[in-house]
Amino acid sequence: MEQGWAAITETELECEVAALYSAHARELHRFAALILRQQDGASDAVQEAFLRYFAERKCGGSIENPRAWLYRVLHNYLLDRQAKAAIKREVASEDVVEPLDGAHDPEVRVARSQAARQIARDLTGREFECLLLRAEGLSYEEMATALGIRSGTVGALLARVRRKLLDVPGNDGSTRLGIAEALGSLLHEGGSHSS
Amino acid sequence: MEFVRIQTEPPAEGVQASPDPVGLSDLLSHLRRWESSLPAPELRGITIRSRVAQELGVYLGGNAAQSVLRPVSDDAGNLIPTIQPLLGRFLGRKAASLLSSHIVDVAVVRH
Repeated sequence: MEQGWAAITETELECEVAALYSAHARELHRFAALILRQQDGASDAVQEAFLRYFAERKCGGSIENPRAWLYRVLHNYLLDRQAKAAIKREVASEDVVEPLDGAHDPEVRVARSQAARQIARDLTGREFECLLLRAEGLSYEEMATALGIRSGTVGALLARVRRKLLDVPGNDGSTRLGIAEALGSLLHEGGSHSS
Repeated sequence: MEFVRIQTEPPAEGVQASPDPVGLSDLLSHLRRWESSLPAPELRGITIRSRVAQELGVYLGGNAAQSVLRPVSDDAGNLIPTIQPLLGRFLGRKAASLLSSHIVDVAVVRH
């Protein structure tokens, strides 16, 4: 995409943005909702990321990897928004969206939900973001672009996540271990989860 | 995966979890509203050049920034190709790209 605004029409640019939106908005929305710990504001944040893409292209910018670029812009926007709102990055249980779980057994649902929260609590903000991006299937290079860090740092962060997942203790053992194993497998294989 | 799924699931009352065609039309409306909020075409070039000069002046000095921005067209369509190669000489390609995006954000998007 080496063309500037002079070489791309308004319609072409809108089509380009629309195609990117169709391809990536869902995962970006998921990422924003997880970072914000709520659905509120996620759609606005995603719109802002696409607005910045639109403006960048209008100003003649060339973007080699739009997906990674959108993640980076969205991530920075969310950090900025959180800083302004003085929201702690800590995962407080009252801030977490109460999940729906497909399991029919209420005890299993509660145990899984608690286990997921505990794992999230054990991870630093940066580790949690790496985990989310990896879960979306981003490569190390894309994650590095999105987070503004080196790909070697991405590898180190994911290794730390993996170690923490392996060390997950548990009174409610099998559930927590099950989630930890699932996450570890996800990080190892780099596959994206189905929505 | 289980962890991501249970964190992502909307609450019982069913908050919209992901964008849909309505989301796309909202986005396109948002882009058009933003465009219509830009300065009038006859003032756009000078306004954007002035804002960008303020940002660039921090790094290059005011006079140099004005000089660098002289070739920028009134629709700012060549803004990034104009400033990025120059910034790249001082900062490297990656940092220049990040700074260019920041300048567009501050001087054009959030005007």
